[in-house]
Amino acid sequence: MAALRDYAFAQARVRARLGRLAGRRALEALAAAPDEASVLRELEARGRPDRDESVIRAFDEVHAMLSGAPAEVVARYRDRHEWENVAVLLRGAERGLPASDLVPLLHPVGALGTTPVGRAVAEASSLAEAVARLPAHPYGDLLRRVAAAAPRGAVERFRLEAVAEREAWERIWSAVAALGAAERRSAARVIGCKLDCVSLLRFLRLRTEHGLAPQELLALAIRAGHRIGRHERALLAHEPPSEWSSRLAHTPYAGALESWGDAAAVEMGLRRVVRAAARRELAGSPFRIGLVLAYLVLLELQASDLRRVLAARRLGRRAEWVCSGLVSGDA
Amino acid sequence: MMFRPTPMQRVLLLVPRGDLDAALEAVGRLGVLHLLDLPGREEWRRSVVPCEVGERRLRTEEALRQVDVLIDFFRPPAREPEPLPGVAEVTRDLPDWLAELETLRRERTRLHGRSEELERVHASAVALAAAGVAPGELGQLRVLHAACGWLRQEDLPRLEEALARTPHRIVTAGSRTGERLLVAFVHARDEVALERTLESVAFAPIWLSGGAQPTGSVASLERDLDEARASLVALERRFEHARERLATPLAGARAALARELLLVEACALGGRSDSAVFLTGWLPAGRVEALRNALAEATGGRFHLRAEDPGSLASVRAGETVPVQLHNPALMRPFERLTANYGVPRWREIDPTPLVALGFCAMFGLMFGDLGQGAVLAAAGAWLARRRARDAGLILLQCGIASMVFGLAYGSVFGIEGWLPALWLRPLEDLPRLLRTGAAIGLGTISVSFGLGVLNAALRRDWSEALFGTHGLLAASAYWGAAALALRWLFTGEAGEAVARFWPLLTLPLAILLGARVTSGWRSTGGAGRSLATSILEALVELADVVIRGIANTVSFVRISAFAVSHAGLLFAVFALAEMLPSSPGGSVGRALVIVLGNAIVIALEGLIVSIQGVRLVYYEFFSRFHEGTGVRYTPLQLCAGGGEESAR
Repeated sequence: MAALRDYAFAQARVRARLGRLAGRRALEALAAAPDEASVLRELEARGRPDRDESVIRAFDEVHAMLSGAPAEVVARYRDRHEWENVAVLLRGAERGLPASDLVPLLHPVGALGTTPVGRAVAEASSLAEAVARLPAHPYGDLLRRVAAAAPRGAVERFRLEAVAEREAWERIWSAVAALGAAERRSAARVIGCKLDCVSLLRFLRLRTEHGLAPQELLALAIRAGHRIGRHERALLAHEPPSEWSSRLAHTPYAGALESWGDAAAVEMGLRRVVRAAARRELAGSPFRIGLVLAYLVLLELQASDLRRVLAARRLGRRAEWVCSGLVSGDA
Repeated sequence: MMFRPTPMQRVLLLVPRGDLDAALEAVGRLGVLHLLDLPGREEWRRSVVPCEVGERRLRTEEALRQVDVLIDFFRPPAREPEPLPGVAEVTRDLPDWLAELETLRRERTRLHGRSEELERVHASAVALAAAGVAPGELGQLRVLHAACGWLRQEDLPRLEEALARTPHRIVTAGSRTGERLLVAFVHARDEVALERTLESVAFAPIWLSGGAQPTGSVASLERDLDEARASLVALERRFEHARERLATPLAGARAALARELLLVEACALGGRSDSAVFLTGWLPAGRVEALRNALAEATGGRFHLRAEDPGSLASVRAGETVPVQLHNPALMRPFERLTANYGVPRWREIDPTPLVALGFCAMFGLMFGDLGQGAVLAAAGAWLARRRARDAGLILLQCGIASMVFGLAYGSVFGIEGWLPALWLRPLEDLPRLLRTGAAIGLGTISVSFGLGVLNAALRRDWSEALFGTHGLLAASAYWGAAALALRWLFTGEAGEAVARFWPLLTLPLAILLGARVTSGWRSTGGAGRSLATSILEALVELADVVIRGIANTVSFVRISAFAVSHAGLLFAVFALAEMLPSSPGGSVGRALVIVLGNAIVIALEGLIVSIQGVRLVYYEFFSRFHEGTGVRYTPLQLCAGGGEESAR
């Protein structure tokens, strides 16, 4: 009953918020704005939905609407921003950037984003020192183990990031696993689809950009998802990317994987699949977590589209170029 | 003086730029000047420029942050630094303290790492020895490659999946909480793949890290481990010594920097010309001479001070806010919090704190009248007042005393009504009289609030509001007319004849008020876009609102009687429960327990509810007619002589 009551309130409020997401026409109008300043003015009027702080605030608001296991799923989904904090700090430490440049980039999530620990890590003079200064939970202990396992102590930054990201997504999935059967299925249709897409992109990038061996790919793979299971992971690790589309023809990701040579195009295609999954879930039962997660996914897609528009105006790209890469909106 | 805030004066202070710090120090030590942002004021905007404090502020904030990092690391015991060190002294010592912190932190990380590694290796050696695995032999394999180490339990399926298409063998040699000690074998050609895979699954190797090896004997490892632990203990002793040594300097540094930051903020409120700095602010009229003397001593007489009464200032007449310092006797001072939580009165307005104190205690006593329970509350209040919660304690003490007084009036001691005669009435036996009393209190309170509304408007020289406002004299007259009729009916039961006689007393003020509001509404728009009928309708609606709110606010006070009855009723229920227990010796103990527990619950629960109701009646029914609470609280720049708390606007 408590869950039903939570969802009764949550779905009404989430649906009200869905109406406030930028539609296709609004995005195109922004893309056609004369300069960056006018886009910024418009975004300011909307409360800067392109900023991660706004997205995290929305996560907090949605989290407050729920209780129990569904609230835990949303909390972990929000806390995944913490691994992005870890990534920022590790990159900063590797490049020797000053703490004053890094601290403003941290999301206001977790110990790194909300306490002086983040600054202490940002002040580290090397990657190893940064790892040593990370708080034990959720990534410190794990990354220190990874660093200790590196041959001659020379840990690679990308490996640390990949392990932290894997941990973040698997933590979300373990929260999904704690839901009841119907709720789990509903969550899997949205978050599972998102996880599949993240997995596919990771496989592609780790293969093409870092040239990892199949065993390493599998060790770094996210062991969670809706349609990408053990069999598919083995296929992605051992088969060349050119084969992926045909081997995964039974999944909705096949179309996006056809352009395997261009990671950006694959990412765009996969984001469209995620959006479609979220939109489908919105039409389903209002008393399921899928509706809430679909809203959060759409919110993230909107933020990323708005950032694309803003960057395009800053660089003076043509409106057509911007619109071709937009994912969110009504169309 | 009660009811009126402390009279204030606005001062303009001019000091040479070189004397600014000394002057601010003197002002802060005296703690009387409520500073205003001088460069932001219209009359000064063109003649002065803001004092530049940006770099000094940044420097101080950075030093303060570093001191906080040091305090966070050392967690020194609380100390009272006397006297405070200078800021220059602090910034001179700060690098040394930070260096010491860094050395200790590095050393601690190193020793902890070494100790943990040795512990892991020792545990591994013990586990391998128990499993009959000889690490030395594993290192000599030629066709096979072996890796030995600890893996998190949940990562084992991941490792199995990663090596699914690689010929391998994984042997579990031991386990501890959440981890397993594994020996993984692969063909020598897959050595690199295995090691990189193990790195990705957060495998903690025993001999891949190049550190301690489990090849030595368990005894030698234990020796190394003891040495590492001894080093750690020695380091902790060094840390304790540094912690003790730095306790006073760090407390002093923090207080000095906080004080410096306060002075910087105060400085930022000043405006400067080429050679002088101007500061302005408010202070109690009686403290101007003290400020003059303090400045003379601090600057050697190089200053100019001009003090002006607010009444003579055009800016005050134009609406400038004068800060308000409430001034009440010691017993009423805690109730200033209750007033201030709603908002402090504006300058010239009446300070309602004495009325709040009396009204709140009286209402509390009426709703919670019991000699015994009141004594418990009073004792708790006295105990709290002697501890740090002085204000809360004093409020509780006075409420307790009020409760005792009404306990005598109700003849109730811990709910027992047979011990004492009721000096006034018993709530459960004389309900109509109690209800009438509640209504009468409502009439009285609302009448006083109307009176104060008129008085405040008159003090603000807002004559229109004083006469024709919704809480003005005319509305009050109508209310008082109705109140007189209601009181007569309440206490004599006669109304009909009196209504006919006093009817004009009620209707005449309302008719004048209606006319005044229609005229003012019509005038304010110049008749444009609004018909006379609309103005009349609006005025009628406003008038109806005044009448209905008056009635509703008055009736709201009947809750006082209701809570008095509910308090007595709850205690009655407690005794009824106690009576239901058998009269055996065990039953007597049970009865005593029920009575004690029941009283405790009533004190905690009913006490809380009654306090909330009291606050509600004060805030919503009493304050709403005269007290907007939009004044500004007087908050002077204050620097403590020692390292204690400091405050500024």
